[in-house]
Amino acid sequence: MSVVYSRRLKKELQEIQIEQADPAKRAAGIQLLQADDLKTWYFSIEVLGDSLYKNETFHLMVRFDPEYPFKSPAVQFVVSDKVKPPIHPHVYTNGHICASILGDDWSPTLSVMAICITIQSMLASCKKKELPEGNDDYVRTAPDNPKKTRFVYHDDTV
Amino acid sequence: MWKTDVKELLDSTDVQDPTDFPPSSTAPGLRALDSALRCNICQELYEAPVVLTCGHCFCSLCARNQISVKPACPSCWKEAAISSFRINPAMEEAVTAWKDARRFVLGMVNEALKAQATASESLRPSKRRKPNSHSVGVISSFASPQRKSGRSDTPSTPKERRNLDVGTSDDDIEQDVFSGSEPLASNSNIECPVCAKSVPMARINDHLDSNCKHYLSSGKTASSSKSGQKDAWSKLLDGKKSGKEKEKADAEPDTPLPKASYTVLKDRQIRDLLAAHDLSTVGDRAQLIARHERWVALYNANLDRSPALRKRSAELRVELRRWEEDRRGSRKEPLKTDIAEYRRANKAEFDKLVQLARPKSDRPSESSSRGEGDDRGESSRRLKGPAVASGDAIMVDSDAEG
Repeated sequence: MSVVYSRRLKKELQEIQIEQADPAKRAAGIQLLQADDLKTWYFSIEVLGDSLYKNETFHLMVRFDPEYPFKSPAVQFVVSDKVKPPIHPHVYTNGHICASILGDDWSPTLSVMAICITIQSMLASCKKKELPEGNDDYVRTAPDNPKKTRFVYHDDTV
Repeated sequence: MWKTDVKELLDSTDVQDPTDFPPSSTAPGLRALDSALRCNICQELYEAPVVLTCGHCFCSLCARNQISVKPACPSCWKEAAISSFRINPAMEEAVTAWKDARRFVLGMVNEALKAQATASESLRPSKRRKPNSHSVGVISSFASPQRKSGRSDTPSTPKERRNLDVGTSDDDIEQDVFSGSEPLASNSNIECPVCAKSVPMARINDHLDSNCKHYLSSGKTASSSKSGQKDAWSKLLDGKKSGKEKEKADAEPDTPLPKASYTVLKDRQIRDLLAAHDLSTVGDRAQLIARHERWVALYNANLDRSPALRKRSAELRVELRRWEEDRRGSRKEPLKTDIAEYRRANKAEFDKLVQLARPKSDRPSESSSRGEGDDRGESSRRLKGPAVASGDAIMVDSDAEG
């Protein structure tokens, strides 16, 4: 399993590298910022075109454990002085994201890029900038790792 | 700045990928072919491919790992079970051939592209301007003359070579040695190197496998029809017997290992299970179970290979050990830092909760009856708050749901 983990991540990294070098293939608005090891990667995400998040850039932190790809990576928006998470009904102010693809609907045939694109489209299709219900409660008590939260996926529209 | 790091990371191992091949505009189909022969889970060329009931194909071990997480096909979410796996020998054959051919084809393609690059430089205003037909022409012209001579002496990668070694059993090697040294007719007798008795050449391996008990040649006097008959019968009977004995000696029968129900087993029984396969019996119960589970998966996945490609138990044991080392190495850290950070980050909140809990005596008993630390106590309390019932996030543990 763990052999799969490192080999597969290296492959994904290589693919991302090749894609990023070629503007024709690059997923628009998604960029690899940092990947020093096979534990934590950072991406920047921008929603291009007409959307509520025009001209905003967000940073995504993706953390892997040796169970990857059989278990999903831990994905959250970076919250720091420089970058803020998007205001979105499925994104908590601590950066945690409620998306089924990061939990129950994760499949080992998906990839890190697939997650980035899903999150990008989740932002793009947002119709109203608002915080999730119970945001303050959640943020107050949330664990550091969003994978320890059991989300209930109730909203199929976004 | 970070790019160099990525490069280093990638250069440290040889990562094979469909993108090794040029895109389909230059070399039609090659990239697609390479990715078609890869498992969608591990992205490697299929190892012991199996087909699920939905028709999707994965490495046996990958599929087994996935099923242990969620009993469904990772491509289409159709229900899947290990018992309904079907081996896919056709795919295995294709992959074996492709492993052989891949390097060769890759080298050829690169050479062709190089030749094309130099050619197009010298013949820039040539009439052949269509890039597609041009490059294909170059590649195919390279393919035909080399195919006859080049194929056999293409250097195979160490990994491939190892696979080949694994594939050929000892018997084959020994036979090769004999047939190589001097061409003996299969019915001639030779001296057994162990017991120094005369043995039919064709049966020497079975003779050795039977600990020099069977397959002795009946000698030159055995020309009478009666003893000949007897010989034939004993050969027939012995043949079956020794087959079984051989199986036992190798301890590698074709039957998959059953899944153990660990909950009803005592630690000692799990250790026995491990010991039966010469596996390490150190570690706590969780480690023992994980080890045995992994062993069963490795072992059974190995049986999904065609017999010639199967690995030996010793190799599987090495794999198991490596897996455990990797897991131990990378497991510890993230978990520890996680909890520590969590504690630190939420210290203020904990203190506040402790303060809140103090005057009322029933509160702390509720959370302590839940047991395992702040994390859980909080989650159960949070659940009871009215604000949460309608929210879309509910905390942590499954038992907090009920």
